[in-house]
Amino acid sequence: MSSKTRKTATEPTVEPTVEPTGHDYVAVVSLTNAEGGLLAAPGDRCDQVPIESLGWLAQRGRIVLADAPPAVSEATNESEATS
Amino acid sequence: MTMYGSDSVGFFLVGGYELKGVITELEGPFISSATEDSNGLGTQWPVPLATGMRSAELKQNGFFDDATNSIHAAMKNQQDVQRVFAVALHGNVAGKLMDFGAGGMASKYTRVSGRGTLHKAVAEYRISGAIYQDGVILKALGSVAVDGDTQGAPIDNGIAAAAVAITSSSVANPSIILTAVPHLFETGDTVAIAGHAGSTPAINGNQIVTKIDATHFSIPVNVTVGGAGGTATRTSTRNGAACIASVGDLVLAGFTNLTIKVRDSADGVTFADLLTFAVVTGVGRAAEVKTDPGPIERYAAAWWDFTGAGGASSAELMVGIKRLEGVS
Repeated sequence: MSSKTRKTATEPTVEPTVEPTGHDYVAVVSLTNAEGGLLAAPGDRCDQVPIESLGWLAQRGRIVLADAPPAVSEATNESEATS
Repeated sequence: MTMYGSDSVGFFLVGGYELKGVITELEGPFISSATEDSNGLGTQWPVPLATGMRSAELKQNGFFDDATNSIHAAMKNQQDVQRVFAVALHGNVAGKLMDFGAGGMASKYTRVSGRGTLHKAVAEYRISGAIYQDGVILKALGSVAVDGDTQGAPIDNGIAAAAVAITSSSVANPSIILTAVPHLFETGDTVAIAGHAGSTPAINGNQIVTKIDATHFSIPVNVTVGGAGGTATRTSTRNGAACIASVGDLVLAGFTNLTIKVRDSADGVTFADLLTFAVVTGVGRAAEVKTDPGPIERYAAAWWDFTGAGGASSAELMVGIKRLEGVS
């Protein structure tokens, strides 16, 4: 009796989701903490930015992934008048 | 009902000049809507319709004072020029309401002298620019000597939006959130999700939504295990904001300039630049109103910096914001 090795379907490999860290992002604008300490100047990596803030900052375009095309800083605000 | 007295008046700033101390009466801003009679011949009574144009006026009575940086310095030869004004009738305290505006201020300025009386100064302003009522003071008028900010005590937008119950989050990228009732969110709103259980990764926290329909919106999260429950509450405001910075006495003492910003934050943890006012170099008094199209996150704060190096610097500074839409 010959034994046959039963072929099993290869289980699909599930790649673990790797969440970007602060190091993966570059600041578009100046970022500080509540105490006023500088976390990142425009162009800096966001290593010091708390991870819970990365989501909204990225979604608002205030930080971008480092390998993303350079973003234009928010220059959309307008001056009405000075005196 | 809250009553206010004359001691409640926090400041009256015109072009960076603080005029409160010499003013005895302040009326306005009167905001009026231009109308045009829409009826033709054959009708007895006019039928005025609003044209969509509005204008504002301010009137002040007070003492004539030609001291440096007082009312005469603020008002002489200032007719038909761009002016920025701010008036705080509820006190000079961060978080208190104020009105401000900018634009062509066609002003009438008169010195009145009479027998047995102190000389008076009377001024009327007709303002062609927008008036922002019920703005909020971010940095109360006062002297600052060093770099600083108000991020430690930011102004919460006072959200009053109802929390919307979440039914589920889908396994998708972006994940689609189903709500139990119409959520009323719009694309671009920031919502605070709380109490949502079971999803991988967790989606609790601040998320920016894309509206799908009345009971579905997506968030930019790659959810691999769906969750259920919790609530979503809108925390940002739409349609932008108008912000004001006013600088009175300024001593740069070697510093290059004074830079002033308004910054916002969704979580009160990390603050990002929202807008930067034109730098103040110390040539004359300065005030500016700037707008940002938004959205504006939940917390707003003022930030200032004496740029460069110098000695004993100081600045009389006030910063405020008016969100151009509340939270519904």
